[in-house]
Amino acid sequence: MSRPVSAKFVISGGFGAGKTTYVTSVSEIKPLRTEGEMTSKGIGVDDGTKVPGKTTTTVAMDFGRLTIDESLVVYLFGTPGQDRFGFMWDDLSEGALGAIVLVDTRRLDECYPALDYFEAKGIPFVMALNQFQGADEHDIEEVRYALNIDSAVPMIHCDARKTDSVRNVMVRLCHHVLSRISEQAAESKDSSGSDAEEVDSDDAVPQPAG
Amino acid sequence: MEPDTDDASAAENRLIRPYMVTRGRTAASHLSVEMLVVAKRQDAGDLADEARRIFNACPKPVAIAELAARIDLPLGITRVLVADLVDSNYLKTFDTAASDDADIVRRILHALEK
Ligand SMILES: Nc1nc2c(ncn2[C@@H]2O[C@H](COP(=O)(O)OP(=O)(O)OP(=O)(O)O)[C@@H](O)[C@H]2O)c(=O)[nH]1
Ligand SMILES: [Mg+2]
Repeated sequence: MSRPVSAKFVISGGFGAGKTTYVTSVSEIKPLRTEGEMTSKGIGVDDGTKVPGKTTTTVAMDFGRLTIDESLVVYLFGTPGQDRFGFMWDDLSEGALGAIVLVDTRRLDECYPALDYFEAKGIPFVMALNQFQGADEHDIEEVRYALNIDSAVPMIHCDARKTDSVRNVMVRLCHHVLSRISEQAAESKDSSGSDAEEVDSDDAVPQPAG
Repeated sequence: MEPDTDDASAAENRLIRPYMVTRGRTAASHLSVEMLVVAKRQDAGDLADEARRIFNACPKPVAIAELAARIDLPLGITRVLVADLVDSNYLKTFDTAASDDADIVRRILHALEK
């Protein structure tokens, strides 16, 4: 067996937006839960000195797993809703291939912290509108306008309870990540100037027949 | 762990110290949650307590977060212990995918579209 490699995605969104449900739908195992510590040291906020002694808060995060092939396994981490300071978010997002921002259409603006976060970190993400029962039908373009989301950010409907729907979101995310990777590769090639090596010059040379 | 002088950090270090066996080279903070680890040898030798539980829980490659969940230890402590066990040659780690690895993303896409 070749050396195994692991990769991860992050599932984020406001309180009760369906993160755990989403992870459950895509994971091959019953979602697992672990506790991360959130010390004031890790948070890095300036009012840490005002706290008498050191408080350690634990946040539970749940995650699932998806085995891709014999040497690649993908983990999906839901960001803990209670961790407003984002310490745990850094931990989960560092090195992530991409992220999903789940939007509860009844509470649109709750997704802002997640949007801001992934944008600031340069992590490619898609937005999945989780249509809860009793919520008004939301047109994608309406939501895009209301939240002022760039047209480059994919936005799709989703039902976090349905495996097909959730896998469809993952597929969209992968396509988005791939186009981001090739954009970035093109950008760095542009900026590296004309002395950069000719790529695949072999391919450009017609092969002699016979 | 940085050496710290203030009281609060000293208190924190007292809490963590029982888990720090060797204070080795592998910094716990470099071990990402999805990083796979596996046992490098057959038996747990004289490992004690949590270190032994960790060792025994990874006969096959498993992510650090999954390991923590399976043996019901907080993530931070699991990381410190895994770092120790890597330094003392009980465990080894595997690479995680770079976030710009298009080939990895294509493999995932392929699996999802099946
Ligand atoms: N109708 C409908 N209900 C959903 C959907 N997704 C989740 N729910 C329900 O909404 C509730 C909250 O979902 P969770 O998955 O626990 O949400 P969460 O984001 O993990 O919540 P926190 O971790 O507490 O922030 C549950 O009762 C789910 O069954 C959906 O797509 N449609
Ligand atoms: Mg949840």
